[in-house]
Amino acid sequence: MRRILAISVLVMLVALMGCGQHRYRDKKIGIEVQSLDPDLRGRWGVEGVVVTKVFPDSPAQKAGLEEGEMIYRVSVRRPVKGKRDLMKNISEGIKYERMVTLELADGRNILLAVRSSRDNIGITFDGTRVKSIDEGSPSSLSGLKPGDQIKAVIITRTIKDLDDYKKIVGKMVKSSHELTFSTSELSGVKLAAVRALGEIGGAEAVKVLLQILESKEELFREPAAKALERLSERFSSPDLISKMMRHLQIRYEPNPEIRASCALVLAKLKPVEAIPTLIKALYDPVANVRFKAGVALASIGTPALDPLIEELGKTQDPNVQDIIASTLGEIGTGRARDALISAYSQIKSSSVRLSILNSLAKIGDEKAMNFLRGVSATETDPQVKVYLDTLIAKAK
Amino acid sequence: MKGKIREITAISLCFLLFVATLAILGCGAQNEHLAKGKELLKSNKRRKEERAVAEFKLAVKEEPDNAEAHYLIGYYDENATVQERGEHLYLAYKNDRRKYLDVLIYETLRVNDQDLIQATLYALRKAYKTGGQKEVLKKLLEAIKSKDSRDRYDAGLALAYIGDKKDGDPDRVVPELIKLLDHKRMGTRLNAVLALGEIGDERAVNPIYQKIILITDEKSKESPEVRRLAVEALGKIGTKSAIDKLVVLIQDKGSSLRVDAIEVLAKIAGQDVVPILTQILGEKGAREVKVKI
Repeated sequence: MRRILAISVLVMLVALMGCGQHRYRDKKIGIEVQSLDPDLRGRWGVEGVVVTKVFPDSPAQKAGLEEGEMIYRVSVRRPVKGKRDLMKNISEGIKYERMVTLELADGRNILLAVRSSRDNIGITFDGTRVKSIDEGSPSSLSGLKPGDQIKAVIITRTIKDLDDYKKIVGKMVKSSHELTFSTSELSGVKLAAVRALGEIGGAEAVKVLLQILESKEELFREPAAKALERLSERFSSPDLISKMMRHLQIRYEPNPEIRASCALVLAKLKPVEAIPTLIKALYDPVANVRFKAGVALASIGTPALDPLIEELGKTQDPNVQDIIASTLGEIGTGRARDALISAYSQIKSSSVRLSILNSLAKIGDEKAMNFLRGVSATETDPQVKVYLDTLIAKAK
Repeated sequence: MKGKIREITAISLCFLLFVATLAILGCGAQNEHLAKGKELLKSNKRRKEERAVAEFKLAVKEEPDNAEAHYLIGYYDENATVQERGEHLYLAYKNDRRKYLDVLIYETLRVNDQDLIQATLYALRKAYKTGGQKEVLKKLLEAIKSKDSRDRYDAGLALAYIGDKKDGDPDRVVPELIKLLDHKRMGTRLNAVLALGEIGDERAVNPIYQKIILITDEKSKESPEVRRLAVEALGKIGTKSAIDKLVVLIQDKGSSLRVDAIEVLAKIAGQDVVPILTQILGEKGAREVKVKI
């Protein structure tokens, strides 16, 4: 009776210790790991455990594992001495994950994957050397060739939760002196942090966002540019202006979305020193960037007038002529009007000519309207005439 | 003798019939305008609601404590302000508390008309403030535990209104809502979280964090939706301790609520969270770490 009672208490204690435990201290690796929030799997598709502590002088600390990292996979490398050893390890890897990596003597790593753990891999071995590979078997597509010498088998296991960690790592540690942990990150968290910096703003946020823009982290550079776009309504600094001018240029910035964002930041900050760079951006191969550069020049206003008129006189590119015509219409001074009137007769592109007429209607002063009426009187194309008459009527 | 008994029985029956007829006729006569207004509502006549309201107003003039007439004015008078409509709904409650407290909570709040909902909330708060505290709170706490999701939502809305920090009674309502954070029904916890967020009372910060957001060995399950709303509620409360909890949350790398907490903080926090966000951006990305044992 006493024995039964003792066993029952022991079973209960084990159950209590095992079930619902949220953290686990792995003394051999030197870390404490914790279950992920249960929603992480459902919401973000993330599985694994999170490292909550790395103990000093532990193997984990020496390897550079850090607190907060999420472990979702672990691999163990098992050197193979003979055929039996090799087959045992291949079977073990395939049993759980339906794949195993073979490390060859020539330094290559070959991934061997099957559809089902019961599939025949289709290889015969002579010791640890590949003897033959069955035609059409999973191994025939792996790149493995007869004669290849297997040096080690790398078994990889997925860690979905704390129980997996305890079971899998516990077993691996017993058979090897080296484990490789694969860690994942939730890029959504960093993206949210970038967006938040854009909302909060201020000098420090700008500094961080500019650092991201200058970095090679492609996933975050574009959101950082968008965040700068938002906060530039409330903040300006010489550094921000100069970096925006730099990233507006295609030779420094390959991403057109970032170039467009930079133009929009400049549209909000209105720096006169950005005019030459913005004029150059009118030649950008991406229409959106050209358009946004035009918006920025229109926003800078009168100081941009002379450079725009000069460029209109020089350029033969109808795309650039078109944007300059629209921008001059937006700025809308007498000089803009005169430049548009004088350009009208020299420009051949009908779409640019329509843009000029549109801009003149927008300026809408007496001289502009007289010019529009004159063009309407002499215009032979009925469609253009209808368009012009509509413009004149609207301007009235 | 038998004949006498028969005679008495017949007379008694006739008398009862007479009294009942009188009662029916009498009621009709008392509420002539009310009856007319109700008939108008059933008809297909133009501007029937407006004309019915005019009749209900006449009914109230004749009989100032007519609960039904007050209720119908509050319900249909779209030309009146929210407060005026709320006053009539309140008078309906005042004159027939038993009937109209249920009607207000379970029927009127359900209507898809924002003005009427606001008027009902006004009436319930006034009922609460003018002696009905116990019964209004009891009824709303019953409704927020209801099996019906709309009842729970409406009750949560009303509790948030009654517990309003400026015009309500947060001291009484907030502790009741906090108790509901342990309720077995997810929808009840959800609406309690929403109401606590709307009230914005500091006392709710810790309970929301401990009971809903935090995952521990003892409490390892909570609906993701309720937890997300709890994070938003902390943002709405927005006090220093609420912000501190959100900061703890964004630093918990195993939490699924980090993104939500960051998004909420972005709206309410100041420059002091920039270093925390910078720290997040500096976190190690996906990689492989070789550990030699």
